[in-house]
Amino acid sequence: MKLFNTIFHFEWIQLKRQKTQWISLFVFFIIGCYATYAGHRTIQKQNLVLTKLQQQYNQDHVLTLQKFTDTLTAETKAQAAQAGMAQIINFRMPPLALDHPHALATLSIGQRDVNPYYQKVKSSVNYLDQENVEISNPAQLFAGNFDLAFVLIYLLPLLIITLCYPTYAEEKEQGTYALLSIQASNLTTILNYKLLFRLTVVLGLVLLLNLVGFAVAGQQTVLSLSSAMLWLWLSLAYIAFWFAICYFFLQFKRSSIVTALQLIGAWLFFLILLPSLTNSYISLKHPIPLRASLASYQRHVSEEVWEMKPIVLADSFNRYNPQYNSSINLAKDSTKNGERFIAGYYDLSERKVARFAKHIDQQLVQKNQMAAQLAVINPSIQLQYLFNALAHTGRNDHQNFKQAVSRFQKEWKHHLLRYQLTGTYFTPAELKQLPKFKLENDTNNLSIWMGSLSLWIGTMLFLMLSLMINKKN
Amino acid sequence: MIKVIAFNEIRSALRNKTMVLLSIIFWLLIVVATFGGFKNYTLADQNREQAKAMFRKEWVEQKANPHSAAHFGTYLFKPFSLLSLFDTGLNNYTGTSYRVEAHHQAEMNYAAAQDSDTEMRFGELTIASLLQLFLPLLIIFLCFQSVSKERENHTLKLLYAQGLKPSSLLWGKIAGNYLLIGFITIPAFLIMLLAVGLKEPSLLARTLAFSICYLLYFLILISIFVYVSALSKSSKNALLTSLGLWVFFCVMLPKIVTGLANNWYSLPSRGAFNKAIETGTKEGINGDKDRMGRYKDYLSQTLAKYKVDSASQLPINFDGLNMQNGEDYLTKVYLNYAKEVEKKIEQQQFVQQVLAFIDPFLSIQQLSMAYAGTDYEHHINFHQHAQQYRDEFIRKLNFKMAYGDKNYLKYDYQVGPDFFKTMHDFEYQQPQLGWALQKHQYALYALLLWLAVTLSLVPIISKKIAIN
Repeated sequence: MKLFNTIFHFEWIQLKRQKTQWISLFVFFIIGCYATYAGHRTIQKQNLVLTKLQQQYNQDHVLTLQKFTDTLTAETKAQAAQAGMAQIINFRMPPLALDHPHALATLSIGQRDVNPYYQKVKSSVNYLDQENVEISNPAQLFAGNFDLAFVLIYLLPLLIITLCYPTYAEEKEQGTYALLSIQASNLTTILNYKLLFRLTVVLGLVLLLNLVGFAVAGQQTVLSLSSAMLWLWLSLAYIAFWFAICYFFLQFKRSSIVTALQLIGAWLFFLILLPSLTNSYISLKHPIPLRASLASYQRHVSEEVWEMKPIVLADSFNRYNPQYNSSINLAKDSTKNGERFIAGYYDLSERKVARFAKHIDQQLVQKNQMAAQLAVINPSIQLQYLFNALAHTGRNDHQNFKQAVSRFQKEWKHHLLRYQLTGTYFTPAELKQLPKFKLENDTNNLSIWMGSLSLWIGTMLFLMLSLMINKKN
Repeated sequence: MIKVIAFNEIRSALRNKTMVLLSIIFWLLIVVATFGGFKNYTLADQNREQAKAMFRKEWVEQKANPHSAAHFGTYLFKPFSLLSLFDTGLNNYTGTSYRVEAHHQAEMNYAAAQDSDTEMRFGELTIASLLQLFLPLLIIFLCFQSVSKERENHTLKLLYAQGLKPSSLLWGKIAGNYLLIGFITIPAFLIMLLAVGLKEPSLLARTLAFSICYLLYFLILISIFVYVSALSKSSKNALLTSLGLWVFFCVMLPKIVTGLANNWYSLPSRGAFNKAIETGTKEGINGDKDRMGRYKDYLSQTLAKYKVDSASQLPINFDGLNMQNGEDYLTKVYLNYAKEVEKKIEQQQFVQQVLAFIDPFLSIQQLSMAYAGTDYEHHINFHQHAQQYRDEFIRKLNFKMAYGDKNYLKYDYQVGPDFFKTMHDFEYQQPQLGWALQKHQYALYALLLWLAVTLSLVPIISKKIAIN
């Protein structure tokens, strides 16, 4: 314990004297704060977009209600008579599906800048519709976001490297190594304590930075304690991993320059080389489909179904939607452009195209499954995945949103069909009770805990290798 | 004396096993990047060509009402040149296909990033990423102790005693390291030139410009890192400073710059944009009448032109003309709002170009993408051509309906392959090198300025080299 205290006291004095160390710690903290601010700006903008959309929807709602009572001119009178028609409601006030950002999205923007985070839901689906893809400068997307996750994943290892690389060599280069060898019983213990001190400094700094991040993130949305704790746990796991790497390279007892180069090589390998190699492998193995066949198929189905006999189409519709059988009217249903014909047209063509689109979705699922599996071998990518999972900003969360939209679209379609097929209109009171989109966005804490295991396995691996080398020496 | 210093620099680097190993790794990565890039490029090109042929066949073989055909529409695909395999640039973030359809002005669709997860943000292995990110590290490794080691080994005093001028020392160090980097990279550039010359000779000028700019970039970096070595107290400090500069300029600053540009020139949301177009077409923009008012005016103008009283008396199908009138207005509204967005993105791009004056990495990154045709300017150029083609395409169909059929509001009029074959296919030629350079002129000026400034610093830095 005495040795521990002595080393910590000595390291603290050393740290106090070294201006460059303080500057690097301070710069890192400032960069982290700026990244938090940049993330906050991005998510704040997204929140603003969602608020405006909601306001616009409320305005459309008010205007639609006004249409019921505006009978000043012949034209508005005619419009008032049709104001509650299902198709008109679908056109005038399509419901909104909003994917509100989780509090931690401020700290890990993930794929939220690439993927749509809202949708105006219509009664019909266009599988090639890209109208809700956000307007963005591709150069911005290419450069990526400067958020706290980026600082922790890319820059924190560099800070750890700058703090750790001279741990052993500085003693040798300053000529104190020989003295220590004579005076201390176990040099390894001294080096371990020195590293432990640096670990404490990094942990303190990262904790401080994360607390700043949590304070900012919590401003827009409530941040749960469990999410914050998990974020800290992941940060800890990553710090441990990089300290283990440093520990491993320090065992070779090379000069500070060589150690620094080796550690930079490790950083380059995990942050640049390995990700780019795995990405190239994924794109070769699972190229992204062009969707030309889907576009062609959708157009043909559209024409083919439109040319079907109304009664055949109505039969198909009735078979799949028996809940509307009470509104069957053979005379009406055998006319083209009748309500059942239109409903049948969308119902059948969507079903056919959905089957076809499934094939493309499957290819993408395989591609992303492979990417997730390969991420396990790289703690840096894995951490980004885990941060995104925690912040609900990854592809899986977007898929979850898309599935929820798809379910809600069906609900909305059937809500309208109940009116459309019976020839009844919405009343103003009924417009206040329209279905609302809900998104269940529960964090799967267990899978994130499990995901962090790969980081700890990496840490253990490097520590074991270090011990082996240490024994050999 | 400069030659001797340069030669010694090369000799000591060749003795360094790590240096040789790193060069071999670099070459292996170049081979992997080229192989992967070529396979991806070939596959994507094949898919595009097949899709293009399929949509053309479907188009010319149909028998349909011209307006139904306009709804049926077609798809256009963005072609990529062979150079895109060297630098994929923004390709993963820009769409690759464009939908041509009546009543709808489409955007480029299906960016690969939307179908991928977060791993894509870590970047792909391309020749450009190797030259922009990996090679600078190799340069750092070569240069960080070029001068500092002479001081640490006390050979600097000896060299000065033999009459070596400090500036000659720097020139020699720069020349030696540059020749080394040349030995490593020039064969790669020559192979690129040869491959392009054989496959797409029209791109030779772009490839040459691509190679020259990278060679200039390497010279800038070598000069900077040799200066760092000359000014640092120790090799250790030189290494840390050089790596710090690399992280700041190559990893951090590009993200910060684009983030700032995005904040300064904020883009509208897709929801607001779509709503503006919807409202604009419905209610009119810039003092124009609303949809009904415009319809009435157009009808009365057409009736007056043909000196008749009603649309049914017209010798043409007014519905076709009216639809084209609607299309023209939609285009007007779309361009009105799209131009605002484009202007803001251009302003964001301008920020990046200007900031290239403080970061040579930004400059080479933009020039590299520009030569490869994978930058924003090429993307928007394609989109503009596609949009113009779409307008003409729909116009021809609407006019066919208007002048080919006199029956007002009748849709049983059909045309067949004879007509559809007369509608020419979309052909897009990438702009010339001069156009790309003009669009990125500030990035080029920035690179040249960096070169001039770094090389002119030799006399100043040489005076500050400490002997001890």
